[in-house]
Amino acid sequence: MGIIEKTAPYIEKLPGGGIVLTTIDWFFNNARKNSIWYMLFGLACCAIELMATGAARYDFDRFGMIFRSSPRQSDLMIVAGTITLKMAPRVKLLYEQMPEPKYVIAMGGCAINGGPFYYDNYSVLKGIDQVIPVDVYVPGCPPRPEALMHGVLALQEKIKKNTFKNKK
Amino acid sequence: MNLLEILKLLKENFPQEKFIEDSNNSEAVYVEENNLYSLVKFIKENQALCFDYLIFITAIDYKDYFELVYYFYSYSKNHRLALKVKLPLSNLQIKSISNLYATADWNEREIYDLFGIKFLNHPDLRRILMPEDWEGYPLRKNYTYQNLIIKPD
Ligand code: SF4
Repeated sequence: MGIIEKTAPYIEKLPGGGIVLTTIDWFFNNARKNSIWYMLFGLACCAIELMATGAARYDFDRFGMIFRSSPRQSDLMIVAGTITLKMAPRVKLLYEQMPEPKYVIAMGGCAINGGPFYYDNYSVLKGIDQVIPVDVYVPGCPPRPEALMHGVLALQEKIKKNTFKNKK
Repeated sequence: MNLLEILKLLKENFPQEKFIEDSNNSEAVYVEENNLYSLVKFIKENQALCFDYLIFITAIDYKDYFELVYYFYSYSKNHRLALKVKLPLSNLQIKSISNLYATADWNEREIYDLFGIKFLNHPDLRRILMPEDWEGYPLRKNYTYQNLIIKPD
């Protein structure tokens, strides 16, 4: 558990017993944030950078992130690339097939607002957030792996703040 | 064979066709749209020409007419030929060559999709890149799209 630096303030050892108490929030959030399985979702050139981040040099596995090729096993959709109008319904379908809780990172200018295809273009969706909700935006064309990692860390911060109490 | 020899052979077999050479492209000749299918059939089946490979088909919008370009190559003879056809705006259709070259199938669908040129006798003439319910033909010069965001100067 290298990523969890400090034990949670809620953990207590009962005298004479092995039982640990903690809040459900803390327990679940830590489990979730340290095993974000992301969906293989390369749509254009940004996917190359996504692959580089997943490969040995940058090593996403450190965060417990493993790519899954099925939306039913994924928690995170990294939208890496240009979304054409024809592709957009498919992206939405895949998003809806993912089980809750699910998160979305919009990676690169194209996924944020159409990027280099913003002007004079008939075929590209101007931002994936017109179709599915986005948690973290990672700008760049393409963003470097470090930037994507920063986005993932930001997402972990966000997951940490999840609570059962406010969940609707 | 170089282009002169190819043209000589073609002219012998198609006396009614003029084969106007293209000043910008030493491998291309303009032909009549009605003759195209029989010409392509001929250059594919003739033993001396033996054009066994269709590299691509593409289209160009010149505003007052459309042009189709067919590029052929022969692996066995190592020579190439481009056939160009001018289509008037009033008659944007031509006979499909997809039963001669399988490559032509998707190439022609793409041209139909983006330029709106109809290929007669094509087995499955549907849009290939754009969504099926798309309106208009995006690569035409006069194409407009209602949600287009024009780049400011
Ligand atoms: S943002 Fe740039 S690198 Fe990423 S998909 Fe778009 S054009 Fe490609």
